[in-house]
Amino acid sequence: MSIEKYLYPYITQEEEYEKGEAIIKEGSRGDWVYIILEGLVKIKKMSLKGQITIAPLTEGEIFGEATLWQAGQGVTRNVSIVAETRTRVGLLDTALLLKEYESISPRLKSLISSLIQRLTITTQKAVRLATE
Amino acid sequence: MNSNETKDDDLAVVRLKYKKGDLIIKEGDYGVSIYKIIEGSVIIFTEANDAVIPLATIGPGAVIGETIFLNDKNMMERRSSSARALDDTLVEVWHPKLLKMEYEQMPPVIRYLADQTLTHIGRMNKIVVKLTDQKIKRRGHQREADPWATKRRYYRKRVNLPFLCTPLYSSSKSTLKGLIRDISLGGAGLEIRPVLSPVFPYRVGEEFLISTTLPNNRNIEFSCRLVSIKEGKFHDIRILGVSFIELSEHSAKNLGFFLMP
Repeated sequence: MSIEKYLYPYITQEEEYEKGEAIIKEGSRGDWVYIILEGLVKIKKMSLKGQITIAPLTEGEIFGEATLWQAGQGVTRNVSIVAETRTRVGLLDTALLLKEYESISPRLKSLISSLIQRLTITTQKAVRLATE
Repeated sequence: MNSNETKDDDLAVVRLKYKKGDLIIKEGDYGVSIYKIIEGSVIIFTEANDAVIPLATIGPGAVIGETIFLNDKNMMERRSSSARALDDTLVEVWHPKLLKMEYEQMPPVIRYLADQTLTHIGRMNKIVVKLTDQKIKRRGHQREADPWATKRRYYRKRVNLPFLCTPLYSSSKSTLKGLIRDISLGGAGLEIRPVLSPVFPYRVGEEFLISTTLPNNRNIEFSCRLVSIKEGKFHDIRILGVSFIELSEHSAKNLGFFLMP
């Protein structure tokens, strides 16, 4: 998956992570949104049986956006993101993203909020099923 | 189903009322409408290998039918899952073409983020279907291997323990409080007063997370599935039977110790 050219102006800095390093820790606070420039990460979540892997993400995919849409609501990260290989990520300009988000209609904001909620519910369900 | 037209911003929207149990969207049908839940609750489910697989229970504010945005060329596509009203439900039907136009005119970066979330929901739905399918097959094998397994009962102890309950998958943020009246290593009997938690989604098949403190001051937490709802001795009391899905090792140890005769 290549990276769309229009995304580059939003990348404020780059970070590199070694295999096994956590880029985002579940339960922590933070509103950075990341794009994978190179490498592979895995989405992980804590369950009653310990941390389980949910799905991989690869180049061009974005993570961390859920807390951005709920900025200021004290929402914590609901999954961990761990580098599966040596990984280079771009950090997107949160202020600019929020400014762009503010320009869309209330209807679309409501749609995006619903999508985030749906993803959270389905992820929780997958975790429950995986640990039963 | 009843409808009435209302004016909302620049788009004329229709509001539809569905009765409890009505199908709002049928998997496989062609459809373009997008719905926002105003009141009530809706279960999203799919069917695979002759089994109904619940994907999510959603409530007011949530949107249904949004996957049409993933289809760039033509909005006429088959629904990938079904949606059924769990209560009497009021939805707002959004004008699909105008909304699609609005969606496509979003700043590209926001659209990129929204598209990715849609893709991730689709992938997570597939994982849920696969895991549910595996679970159904596993249970089938267990029954074949040990036909008496489902008939076993655990020693049940009478108790009077306040509990706090939250739904596992529902979008509802409400909590339910009540008393655990009996408990075993397999499940518990809960006494509740529905009037105190009128919006709590307690229905047979729903899954919950419950925490309580045992008389020996040990905390336990367990996920469970609601298997029965009975009338209590008084009209405002309900007795819920729950079957444990999972007890952590710590909770199982505490409960096992407490249940020792």
